[in-house]
Amino acid sequence: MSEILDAVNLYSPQLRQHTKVGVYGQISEDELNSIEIDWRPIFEKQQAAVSIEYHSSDNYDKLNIQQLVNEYGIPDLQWDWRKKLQSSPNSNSHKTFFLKCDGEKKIEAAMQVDLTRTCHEKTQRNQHMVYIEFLAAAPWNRKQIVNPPKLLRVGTLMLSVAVSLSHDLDWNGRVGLHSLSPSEGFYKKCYMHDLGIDHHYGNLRYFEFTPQLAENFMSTTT
Amino acid sequence: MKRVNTQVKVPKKGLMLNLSEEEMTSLNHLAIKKGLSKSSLLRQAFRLYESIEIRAEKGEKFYFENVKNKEKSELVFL
Repeated sequence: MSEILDAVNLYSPQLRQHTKVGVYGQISEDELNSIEIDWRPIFEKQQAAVSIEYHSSDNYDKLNIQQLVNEYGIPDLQWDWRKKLQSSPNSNSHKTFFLKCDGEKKIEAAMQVDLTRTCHEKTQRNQHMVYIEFLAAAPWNRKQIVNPPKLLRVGTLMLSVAVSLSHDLDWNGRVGLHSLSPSEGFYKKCYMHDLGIDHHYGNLRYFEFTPQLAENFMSTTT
Repeated sequence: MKRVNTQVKVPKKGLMLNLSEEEMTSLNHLAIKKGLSKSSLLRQAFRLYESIEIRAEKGEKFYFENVKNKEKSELVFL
């Protein structure tokens, strides 16, 4: 059973007003269904558009398919949330969170974290941290897919959930994650420490919040 | 700008715990070393134990590896 942990007002450019968004813990079958029914068809539509552009281009052999996938706002196209949650079900070592608007059933963003990891940053080495395994906004909250999006700053809110959880666990806001390439700029703007490309993890760039950087981030979002 | 950050607090329940003198000394020592409260340290120990248990049940093994000679020693969990 999902439980509401907090409620925050996010701005909706579509409604031109702030909307109450609930932060919930523990993704259940209902939320998985929502992701599959509400998100997946939009991803597939974007995927089809990528395919058309790729094959209709005169010099498609020079086009980078991954770059197109990123430009169309679906770098996480291959993520299967059901499989991900089945391989590491909700337990004390893995937690899931999601956002939902007041009175609505659709999921606005989802996140899974691992609570068994330790920091890489040299001043924090071997200290516990919240590691974000997966974080995704609903397709209608991505400017590349729907402009203007339904809600702004769902990624920022989810990141603050991770920092807040880290504080709740006495880990002083330490958070780490590997970023997909289109999101790297976002994490840099959030003051996360860029520790470079991790060649042991799909050549993805690795970011971390030290306690001080987490404090800087939280103070700018208050 | 409206508030975007959040204060997530996971609900917790209390537990009375009896430890021997040696166990309490170890707990204090580890808590100081890791910069955690005793409660947080025990919760993390439980989290790691559970994580290992889940993976062991799936047929995985848990090893320590000596970084110098690459020698591995398997840890057995009850």
